[in-house]
Amino acid sequence: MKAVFMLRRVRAFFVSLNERLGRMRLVIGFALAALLAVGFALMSVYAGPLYNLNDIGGFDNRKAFIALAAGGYLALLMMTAALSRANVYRMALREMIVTAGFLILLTGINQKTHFFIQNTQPLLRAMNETGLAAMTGHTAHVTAPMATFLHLITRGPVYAMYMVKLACIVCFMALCVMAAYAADRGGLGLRAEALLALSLILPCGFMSAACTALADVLTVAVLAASLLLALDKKDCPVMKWTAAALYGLALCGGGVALYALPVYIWLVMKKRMTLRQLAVSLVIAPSACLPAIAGGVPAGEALFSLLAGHVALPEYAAGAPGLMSMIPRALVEEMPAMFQLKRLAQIDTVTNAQKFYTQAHFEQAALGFALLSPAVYGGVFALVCRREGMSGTARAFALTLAALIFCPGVTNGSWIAVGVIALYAIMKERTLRLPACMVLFAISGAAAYPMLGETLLPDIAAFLLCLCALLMTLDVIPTALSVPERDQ
Amino acid sequence: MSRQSRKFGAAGLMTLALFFVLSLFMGLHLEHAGSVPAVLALAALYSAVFGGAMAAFVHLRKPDTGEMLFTGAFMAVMMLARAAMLDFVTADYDSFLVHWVAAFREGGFKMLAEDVGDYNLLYQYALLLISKTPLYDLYLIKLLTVIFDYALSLVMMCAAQELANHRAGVPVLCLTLALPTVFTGGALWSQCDSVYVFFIILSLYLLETDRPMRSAASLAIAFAFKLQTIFFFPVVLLGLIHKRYGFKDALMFFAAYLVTIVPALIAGRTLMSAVSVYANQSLGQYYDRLSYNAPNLYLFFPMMEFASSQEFTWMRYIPGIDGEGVNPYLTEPMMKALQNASLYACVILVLIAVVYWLMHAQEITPDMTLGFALFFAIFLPFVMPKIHERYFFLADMLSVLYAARYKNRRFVPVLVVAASFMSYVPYLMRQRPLDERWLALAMLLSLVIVARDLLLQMRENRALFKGVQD
Repeated sequence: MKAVFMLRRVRAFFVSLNERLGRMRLVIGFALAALLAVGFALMSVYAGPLYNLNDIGGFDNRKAFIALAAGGYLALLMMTAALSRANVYRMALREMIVTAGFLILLTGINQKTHFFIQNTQPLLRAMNETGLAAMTGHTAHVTAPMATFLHLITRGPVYAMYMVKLACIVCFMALCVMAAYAADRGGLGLRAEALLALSLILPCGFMSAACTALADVLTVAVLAASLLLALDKKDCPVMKWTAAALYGLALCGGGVALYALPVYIWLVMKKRMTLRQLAVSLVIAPSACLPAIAGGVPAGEALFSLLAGHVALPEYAAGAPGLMSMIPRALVEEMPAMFQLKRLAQIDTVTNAQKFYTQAHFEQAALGFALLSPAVYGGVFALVCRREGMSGTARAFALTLAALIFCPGVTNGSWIAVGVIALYAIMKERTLRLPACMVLFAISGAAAYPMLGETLLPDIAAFLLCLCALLMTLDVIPTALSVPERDQ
Repeated sequence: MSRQSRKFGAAGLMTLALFFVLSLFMGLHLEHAGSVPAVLALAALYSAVFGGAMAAFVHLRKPDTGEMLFTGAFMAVMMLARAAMLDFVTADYDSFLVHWVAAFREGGFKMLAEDVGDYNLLYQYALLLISKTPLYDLYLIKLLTVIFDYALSLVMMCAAQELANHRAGVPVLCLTLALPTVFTGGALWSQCDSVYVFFIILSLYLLETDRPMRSAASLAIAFAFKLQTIFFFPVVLLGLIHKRYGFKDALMFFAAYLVTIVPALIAGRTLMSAVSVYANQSLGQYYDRLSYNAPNLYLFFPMMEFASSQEFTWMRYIPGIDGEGVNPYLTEPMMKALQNASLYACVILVLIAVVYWLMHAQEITPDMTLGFALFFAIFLPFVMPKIHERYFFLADMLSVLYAARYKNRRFVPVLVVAASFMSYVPYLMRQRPLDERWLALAMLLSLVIVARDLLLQMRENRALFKGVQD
């Protein structure tokens, strides 16, 4: 009898404690965030991934970088607390998961990678010497606003690679936190924490954001934030204006943002956004070219870079499992899956070059396919809009996948978004599990290319897997064979 | 002004807009576009194709505004994408087409009396016309195919509306235009498969809408263009058995075919020579392998030249590797023997299939014509030796119609077109990113599925007939 009484008292105590903690959830979340951030900063002075930074150039620089990293980490934790709709314990758990994820991702901070050394670093160094004008004619295929942003964050004494990587890691993690928030809204319960943890350890996230620092990671994170706000059914003008502004910023980054335009047009047609908001978002990107123009980049080139960032086919994009993977490169050793050829001294690609498939042939074919792609994406978009009975998750998965398959200029950085949505789809919908797993396998296999210049999964195979996944989501490829059924 | 007239007006405006974009794009981008008037002429020709297609679309479909704008934008972007690839020169153009056009340029109309190339006469007339034009011949050769790309997509739309439902029309049109085999076959490769396949699909459409005489005439034109029209002949045989084609229609077929050779006869060619082009084409010329990249049965057999093998793509860069191959046992006589043996095997396989279908002809209802056509469009190139990769083009189109008709068979064109297109890559891009033997298996899988569907339907019909008799 006494034990039962005690049990009731303990239970009542915990209920009241929960209520009290629930009321102070945000304060506790922020306090815990501050505590963890300070702890991280102190630990980094003596141990951890930021202890031995090879190219930091002295303790003063390291101190500054640790402070920056701790600041980014604190922002992430506060975002986690603010976006968490679960109880205080689960919120704390999420902050722990974010902490673990941050430490894991920072382990790649010292690694110099194929893409960074071949593309980003030459551009950053050229801009360090001659300012923004250096991006003129540069082969890195970044937009003028993105080049400005990269130039801005690498102005300090800290090695540029660390700064770009930190920005990419924070943006990637923000994307994962937003996924957990979406999972809360979708009623996934504890699976939201699982989603957060799995997203943070996605192989493509580690390779593309933490090791390679692909600028597309920044774009997709901003785009995801914009879409999350824009698709919210609440009729809150501030939210919609923020969504529009963020979409404008995403357009500045190039990559796949342009392919989200039909979604915003659809939102305007459904009166969930105003035409003025959309117009403002479309004006932001050209306006963001002004610093580059002032810095000496010809206006035409700066503005065209906004488009070229979407449709150009830089060499490093070859590893992404998109439509462009169907077109072989003129030099076979440039094919991601044929990397071993670079190691054969006997290879003579000049004497034995092909007459009827040169670099010019490759570029002509690639341009044709690059122009074809948006039209095909438009077709898929129309198909998805027209289909009845398709869930929101399936629509989001299909459209994101289609956008990335048919957007020629995207790097593996953008494919992270599909990875996160695939994880969400696996948890949310049984029917999407197989296609989502196929996509996860494909993008994990392909993600090594920007990091190493090599991949063991041929990009054509990765592309075919993703295409099959898209067609399965659209019910074109069935999962069981049946008797032919006449479409009435 | 009626609603329809306004739509024609809108189509005209879209054509004008495309003309400006194309003029700018071609002037800046194309290497051999030439002077400003030449660029404008070229842009006008390509825009006219778009304009004609839009007008035909409005006339045939009577679309609402949204559908028209979407289709117009889609078609325009497809034209721009095609224009981007006009400079792509293939070995076919460099080794054959350019010389044939040069021969017509020098000899003029009288050259029709000679054997210029191994293509049939209709194509030679087109080359004669091209040779008389001051524009760069490659762009005009590609224009011919682009015209038929658009015509094919329109006839596919009509066929889909007839064979499936009205709703399927626009998706099939868009899909056809964007299908990689259609997209690359003309604008990239300058091949003319969409020309003869257009006439075959038109023939099928006319047959399905009970206009057998026109259907026969259309088929004759297809046959006058390409020998590969024979892949559709089993359907004609079925049509004759079911009395959908009659004696008059057969006469129309021969008459239409003979009309196509009249200009050559006027130029001085003998009748025998004019009708024997295909006989010359079929006799020999290739002896080094059993399959020319076609994803069929013979990809699993050895090839005489090492250069044609899956592995040579990268090994060719190593000095000392001989692309001609050195297998002492795989000689030309051996390859001829293999080709003959495979030809006999093919004849037997085809006979078995045709005899089987003939024996069960009554169980194949007119409703099954599309499935029957698709079966043979895959089966024949799959079992025939010395087949080229492009010969599955008809199967590509029929598989799209099959998918439009049967909603749970939408994966069939994925298999067929993917295998078909990926087999273009070794010739066009000189590489084999995907092992072609997988492509042959994909094609085999689609063949098995279509055959299974047909057999199931036949079994159902058999039970139905038996029930009626009882």
